[in-house]
Parts: sequence; C-alpha cells; structure tokens
Amino acid sequence: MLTYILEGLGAILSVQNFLIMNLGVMAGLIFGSIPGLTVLMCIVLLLPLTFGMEPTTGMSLLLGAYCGGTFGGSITAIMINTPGTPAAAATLADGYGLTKKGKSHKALNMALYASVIAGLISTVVLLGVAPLVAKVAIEFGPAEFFALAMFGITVIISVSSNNLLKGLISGFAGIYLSTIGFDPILGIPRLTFGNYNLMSGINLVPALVGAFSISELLNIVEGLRAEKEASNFEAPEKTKEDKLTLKELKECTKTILKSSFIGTFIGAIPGTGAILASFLSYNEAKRSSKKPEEFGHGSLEGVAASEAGNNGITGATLIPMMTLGIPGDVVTAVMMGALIMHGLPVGPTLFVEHSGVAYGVILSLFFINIIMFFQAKIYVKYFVKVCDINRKLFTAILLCFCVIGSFAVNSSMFDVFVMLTFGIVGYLMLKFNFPLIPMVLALVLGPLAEKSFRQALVISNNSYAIFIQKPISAIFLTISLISVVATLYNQYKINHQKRPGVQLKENSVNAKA
Amino acid sequence: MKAYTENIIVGCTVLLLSILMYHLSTVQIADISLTGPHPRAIPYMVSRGVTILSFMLIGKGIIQYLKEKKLNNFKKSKVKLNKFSLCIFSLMAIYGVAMTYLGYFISSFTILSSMLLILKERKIKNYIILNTLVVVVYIVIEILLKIRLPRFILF
Repeated sequence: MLTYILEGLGAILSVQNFLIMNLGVMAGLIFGSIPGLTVLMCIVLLLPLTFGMEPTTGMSLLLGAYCGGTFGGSITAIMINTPGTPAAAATLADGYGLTKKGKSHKALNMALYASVIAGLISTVVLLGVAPLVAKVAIEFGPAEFFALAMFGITVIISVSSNNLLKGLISGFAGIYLSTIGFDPILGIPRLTFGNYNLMSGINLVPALVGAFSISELLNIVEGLRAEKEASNFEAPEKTKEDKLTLKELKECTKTILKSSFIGTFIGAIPGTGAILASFLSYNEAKRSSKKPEEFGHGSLEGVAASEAGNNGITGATLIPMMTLGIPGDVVTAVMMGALIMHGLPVGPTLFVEHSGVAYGVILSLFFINIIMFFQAKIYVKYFVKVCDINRKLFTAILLCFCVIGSFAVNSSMFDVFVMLTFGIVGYLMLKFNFPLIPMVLALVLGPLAEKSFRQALVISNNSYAIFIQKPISAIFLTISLISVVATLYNQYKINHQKRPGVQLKENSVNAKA
Repeated sequence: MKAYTENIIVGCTVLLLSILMYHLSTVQIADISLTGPHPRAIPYMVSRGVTILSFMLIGKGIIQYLKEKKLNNFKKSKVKLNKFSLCIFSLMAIYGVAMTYLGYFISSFTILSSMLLILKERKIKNYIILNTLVVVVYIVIEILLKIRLPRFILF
C-alpha cells in the first residue's frame, strides 16, 4: 500500500497541482458563500477546464471546489442568517445566534476547525476503506454488479424523493435514456434515429450540466425578478472576546469527532448527502450534550456538530464512486463523468490499472483540506462580501460556461443541444415535483445494470436464479426491495396521519391526556 | 389548476410518453437475438413499468378528487410555469443555434448581452465585464487548453 501511496504522492506533488487545488478551493468557497448558487454549479463551471489537464490535476480542481463549497455555505449562514448551501441550514440557528451575541469570528473559526477535521477524517477513512472495497469488488461477477446497480438506483429513488411514484417514473426514464446507443451485448444501434452522435449513447456531462445547472439557472432567473437590492454587509471587527479559545475547541472535540464519523458513514451510502449528515449530527450532538438548552440559540457545539457532519461526507462519497462505479450524489456523478472523459475505468479496476490516479485523488483531499484551512482563515471576511455579487451578470456568465462546458466534451454542438434539452426537461420536472436525481443517476447506472443483467442471464442460461444464488447479489437485491417497501410504508403512514379523521381522533386522545 | 387535475394531467402525459417509448423500442431496435435477453428487453420492461406507474398516478388523482369532493375542499396545485423563464430558455436555445452558424464570439457577445438586457441590467460596467469574460474564456479554453471553439469566418 505504501508503494501506491508514494505513487499517488508523485502524481500530485507539483507546483501546478497546488495552484490548481488553491483555485478549486477558492472557487468553491466563493460559490458556497453565495446563497442560491450550489457546489454543483461551481463544479460544472470548472469542468471544461479539466479536459486539458492530467486526470489527477483535474480531479484536484473539482475536489477543491467540492470541499471549499461544502464549507463555504456556513460563512453566510453564520454572518447573515442565510445558508449558502442547503446543508448549512443546520448551522444557521446556532451560527447566527453567536453572531447576534457578537461572537461571529468564534463561530466561523469553530465551523472551520470542525470542517477541516471532519474532512481529514473522511479522507483517512476513504484511504483505508476504498482499496479494501475495491479488492472485494474486483471479484464481482455480472450478477453482483447488477444487484449493486439496482441497489444504487432504488436507494437513490427512495431517499431523494418525497413522492415514490414520481421518483420511480424519473428513475425509469433515466434507465430508458441509458439504453440509447449501441447494444452492450450485440452491438446493434438502439433508439439512435440513425444519428451518429447518439451511437455511443447520451453523453453524461452535457446531460448533468443541463439537468442541474440550466434548470437551476432558470429558477434563479425567476427569483431575479422578485429580488431586492443586495445588502451592503460589513463584517464585524474581531474582538478579544470573539476569539476561539483552546478550551472551547477541546470542549467540542468529542462532538466534532462523533459528527465526523456520522458524516463519513452517511456519505458512504449512495443518495444520502450533506443535508442528512449535518442534521443527523446536529440532533445527535444536541441529544448527548451537557447543555442542550443552548442549541438553537448560539451554541458552539451546535455549529461544530453540523459543520463536521456536513464536511464528513466529502471523502466518503468517493468510496462508492471510485470502488464500485456508483456515484453517491450528483456532484460525484459529475466527477465520475470527468474521470470517464479522461478514459479512466471508474470502479474496482481503477485501483488496479490506474493506482497512481486513484491514490493521487485520495491524497489530494488531504492537501485540499489543509489549503482550505489557510484560505478560509485569511479570506473569510471577504467571502461574506461575495453575497453582493450581481446575479444578472452571473447568470449570463454561467450560461456561457454551461454551453462551453458541454461543447468542450466532444467539440460537438450536438452535446450543447443535449444539454439544453435536459435543461428544459429538468426545469419542467422540478416544476411538477419529479425528482431529478433518480433520472440522472439511473442514466449513469443504467448501462452497468443492463449489461450485467444480460451477461448474468447469458451465463446462467436464462435462469433468474443466478441473482439469488450468489450471496452478495441476494443481499443487495434484498436491501433494494426493503428500501422501496420501507419508503412505501413511510408514505402510507404519512398519508394516514394526514387524514382528517385520524387527526381528529389523535387530537381528542391528546386532549384527554 | 386543482391538485387532483395536476395528477391526472401529469399521469396522462406520462402514459402517452410510455406508449411512445414502447413504440420507439419496437421501431428503433432491430429484432435480433442470439442468446440471452433480447436487445428490446430492458426498453420494453421500462416502458411497461412507466405505463403501470402512469395509471397509478391517474388513479391517485381520481382518488384525491373523490376524497376532496366528499369534504368539499379542493386543494390547489402549486405548479406555476413562469413565462419569463421560458423566454430565457428560448434565448438559450437561440444561443446554441447561433453558435453553430456564427461561431463563439459573435453569438456570445450578442446573445449574452441581450440576456443582460432582458434581465433589465442597467449598469454599462456589467456589460463590459461580461464581454471581457467572453474573451478571457476564449483565451483560456482555445489558447491555453487548446480546445477548439465553434468558429464563424475568422473567429
């Protein structure tokens, strides 16, 4: 393993890489600080820049933006009571509570320490776990890969949608779109309409850019009409009382460590994400705290918990992506697209055939967290100013980058139109409450699922028993089934509770009590 | 629009799409099979699945209607399509087409500036920043990263 680590270090230790990591972190911090702009948008903007780079360098840029953006959301949550990213919502009450008490720098520093520690812990777990998972996964056959892909798709559908029916339709649509292109077994063209641009299937990057950035851009445009003039925020001066002490940091160490592990665990499960991690960590910290009454009114422990949970996912989300080829969320799906663009096999073979790249990517996360620490320490008060950025100008720039990013993939205008199509479809889907993530991730996992399904049936002479005879496959398919049944049951329970009759009955019971 | 109507309309639209998906799977995929499942197997499976789900969505809308009719309390749908966003999308589509025929520079200068104009940006400074950025993007992408951008006659 040491050889691989040294190989990875060799791939990333250069002045150019450090500059790129700095650029990525800076971009992430800026995007994270602006409410309404997401880490995903930042990564999409940076994506075309990675095409001309070495894979490790390109990934360092994207990972820098990912980590920087995840932390960046907390800056405005603490300073101006507006979360830069949805995941920073858990930081809001305590962070802004501290600002109101004149302890904004204390809150920002605690958020930073918690984020960096969590990021480093998550990276250590990634470094330790990923090669082991890859070692096991390399032995997987088609049945196991099919079960794994189905597990990824169903878990994502179950977790990411409030409406299972619409989530399933979205997932099915993604699988159907993934069948466009050459048949994986017979090599005949399918659903291509004779267009050679579709022969290799729908390109992932334009689809992702369109579905998430263009649809989001249209939402921003809607909001622009109602937007008030930007506020001229002045960061408060740092006082002696507003300095984070070692004692305070020590008091929160247990919470930071616990939340980091919660974040790491949640991050490793596909489809979960930073929001769930930060709220779970926050609730757990509140439950086990000696001063739970302070939570929600300016508790340092609360800030530490939500930020550690939030950033704990950064390394862990790469575990399923790098080892199994299953992206944990949309950001990792874009990163997976970037790796595929560089001709790298995402999945267990990445660790065997391109160990330098795999370990280089993991190790770059260590440096990124350290760079983020120093950048945030120096520039934190300026990032708050970023909120004053002109959104109209930004929308136009973003559109330019989306178009160039999609074009640069294959130097083809066809990809630009694919991006625009996915953009309008994504926008309409969001309007009609169809979750987008199942469709896009089914588009990513569809080819793996179909190829493995058909290969397994060829091997077993068309016997479906192969999927339950193999223990790993049986386990994953059972979990997939459980996740769908559990979601159906939860929705039934919620609907049942909403019924007026039930509510009346409950109210009368409560009144009697 | 009422909430139940939304479910029924969306369900019907999905049903039509599933029929189209099934039809395309038949027309656009050749009928060849050597061993194992047919190349049409997954597209057929998916389109049948979507058909079932669309019926469920329509059914949901009908049940919702019957329930709300009983209580005489019809919920309103929250869906609101913004014409302004669709107008901006049309501009994006024009940007794509313009880039094909006019190249990166001319289309970016004109369409992106028009977008700012539609968004009612008044400061000239922002127009200058935008167009400077278009040039910077060209330098970074075409000259530094050597990715050829769409061209017209000279640029």
